[in-house]
Amino acid sequence: MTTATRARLGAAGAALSPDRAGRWSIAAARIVLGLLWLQNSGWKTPPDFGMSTESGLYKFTTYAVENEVFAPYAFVVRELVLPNFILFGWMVLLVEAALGAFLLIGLATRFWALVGAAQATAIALSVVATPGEWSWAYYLMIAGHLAIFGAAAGRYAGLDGVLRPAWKRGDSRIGRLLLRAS
Amino acid sequence: MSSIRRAELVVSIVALVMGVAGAIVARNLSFTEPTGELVLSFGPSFNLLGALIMIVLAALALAGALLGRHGLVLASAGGFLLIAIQVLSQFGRSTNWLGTRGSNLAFALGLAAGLGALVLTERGRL
Repeated sequence: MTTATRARLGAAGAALSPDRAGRWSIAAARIVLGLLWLQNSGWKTPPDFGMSTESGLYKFTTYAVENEVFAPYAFVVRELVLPNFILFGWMVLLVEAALGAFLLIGLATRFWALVGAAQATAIALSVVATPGEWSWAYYLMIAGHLAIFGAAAGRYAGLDGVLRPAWKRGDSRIGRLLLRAS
Repeated sequence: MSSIRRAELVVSIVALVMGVAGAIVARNLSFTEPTGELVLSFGPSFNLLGALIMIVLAALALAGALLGRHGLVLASAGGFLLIAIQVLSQFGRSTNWLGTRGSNLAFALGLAAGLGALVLTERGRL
């Protein structure tokens, strides 16, 4: 690479990197999404996740069948998820708690942002056709996670930003994985 | 002070603030009340024992970060991991020693992973 090319790329990079307001906005979006999952992992209550009283997570999961949004998804919920609901409940609790944990501290943020977008999509496919639900809330959740993925939000006031230089210098396999995930 | 130690300080102060807030909201509960009191209604809940353990672990991490003692920070991270395991085993059941719920799982997991990643990276293990 010539010196002139390197200078051009450097100038382009500087133009693309966010200013102070941009950095804090990106960090705020990540933290708010982390708090969203943190709060919502609070009502996924084991051991039956609302199955015996047809409330809580169980009730919301049945919406996917009662108010079908996408037939193949409703089929999977009816045939696979509901018959194995307790296992599904534990998976939801663990995934949502991990989303809250990692987005809040900004560790492996890009990976967890994609997981969050996938989880928000699953929730949208369950409830957007349910009367009284505001469908844009779920589209905004998906968009928010894609935005923090694109912005690599953990690099701003998050642990990714603190730890990436050390991961780059090191030669551990986990460090390399975290570098990719951040 | 390195950026990693500064981050350890910030994380441990956040944990300390949460523990103190937990102690304030749970002040009228019994020490091991199974249903804790919510902090600002945004998620984590504590009884007095849960809040006290949170404060002790946060103080341990804070001391480790201030003194540059990795072992203390790592011990604190291990303690937060144990809280996460406590939530998984007792949340939603009649016995819940710390008065915790799913949001405590997220918070404790974040503290354990965060402090653990900071110390292990500083030690060159990650």
